[in-house]
Amino acid sequence: MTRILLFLLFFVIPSFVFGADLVPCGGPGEEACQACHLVGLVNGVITWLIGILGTIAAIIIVYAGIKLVTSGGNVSAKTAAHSMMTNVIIGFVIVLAGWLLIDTIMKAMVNDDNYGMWNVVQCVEQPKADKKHLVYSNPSTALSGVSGWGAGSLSGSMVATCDADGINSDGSLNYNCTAQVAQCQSTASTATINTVAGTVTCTSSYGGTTDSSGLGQCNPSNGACSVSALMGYGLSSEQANIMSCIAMTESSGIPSTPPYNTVHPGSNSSACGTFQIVGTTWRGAAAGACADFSNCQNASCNAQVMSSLVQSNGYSDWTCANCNNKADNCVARYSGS
Amino acid sequence: MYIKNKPTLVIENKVTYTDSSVILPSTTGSPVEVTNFLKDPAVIADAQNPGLYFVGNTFLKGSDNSVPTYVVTYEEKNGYFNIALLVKPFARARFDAEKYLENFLNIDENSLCSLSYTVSVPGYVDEAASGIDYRFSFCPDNVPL
Repeated sequence: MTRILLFLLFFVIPSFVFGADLVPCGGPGEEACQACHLVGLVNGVITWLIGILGTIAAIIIVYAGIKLVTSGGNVSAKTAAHSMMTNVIIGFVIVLAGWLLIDTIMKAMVNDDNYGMWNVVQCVEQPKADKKHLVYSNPSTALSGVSGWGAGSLSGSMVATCDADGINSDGSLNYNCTAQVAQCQSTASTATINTVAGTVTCTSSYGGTTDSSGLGQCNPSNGACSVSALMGYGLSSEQANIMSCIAMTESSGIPSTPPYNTVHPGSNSSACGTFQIVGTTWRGAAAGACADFSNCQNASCNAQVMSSLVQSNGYSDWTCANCNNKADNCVARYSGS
Repeated sequence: MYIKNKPTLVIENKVTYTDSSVILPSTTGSPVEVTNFLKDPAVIADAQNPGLYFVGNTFLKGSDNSVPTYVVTYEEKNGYFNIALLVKPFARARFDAEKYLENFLNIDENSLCSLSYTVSVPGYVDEAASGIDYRFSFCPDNVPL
């Protein structure tokens, strides 16, 4: 028996060690090592041990079988061989049962049908912080020296006269501002057209209307939730930028959006109006002529209640769990604007 | 990572109304003149918001209990159209809204692109698709749906 174990120790086990691939990272063609791979290493050792134990058990069973056959009439040798075989089988069953026990306990704890075997460890690359810097455009620099553009009355702004494009029926000039708008927009700035004066004013913009995620704000012409409209309800520039973005994600900026459960009977959501404020929240924040929830589709009332909520609770009525997953993006995107 | 701002366009002029026509401000600088659609009996004034009109569908279900695929509201003060897509597939809903507005205003695609408008999906319809101005599909700045 001693000779067999020595044979296993010096010839069989080393072959398993080289084939076990215990370190699953850092090698040629493998990903860089991270903390997760330490778990993979421990897992590899356990798997390797089970493999080794299985081989040893098989060899001992064969050895015990040979002893059993060759025991002849020697009762003690026969009993010893029998006992050896039984103990090996029981030991190996205990090893496998331990594996099954851990698998069962972990599945019960995770409570997820998609959870695989416990010893399958997958290391995935962890997300890295991706700080985004929004850039202020500066028309006074970008358009300086460009033909047709001169300094505007607002700080950093530039103004250009549009191209004359015929005469209107009332004798006034008709203008075509396409070229001037394109020049302004090529600097990632805000172009403001005045078709009566025939001018385009180019001003710096912060953030613009979309980023790589495409998240935008209410149109500047939307009286219910444009940034300028919301600042009229007492919000700061930053708050107005954030809430204009949230209004887009909530209702597309349509104040007349009725309470959800009036269009979808059976739903318990009464989210209503531009900012999709629910009845209970409304009643806790609304006052005066807007106090009744029946005013939730009124753009002014909805904005007033929203403003009150933002001043008291920040953005938590929209960023809360299961409320609006895009609201957090709005806050992150327009903070500091 | 640095993100370049998307340029923004603001139309300073207000819309002009006459008995027979509406002169809408446009992003090209050339106003778009259309028949005064607010006199169309199909247009419904929003009772809660004076100056806001439903010019294409309302949020109410149809007689067959179906949800409208889109809603188009119009803001009288700024000449602004707001199109909300309410039913998937949104590409089909946008196409329907485009065709409707083209016929309703009786203007071509170029003129439609130059209007002040938004095409988006409300979060209560589809949160993942919300918050984005998809524009009209035939306009240069459209976002695929």
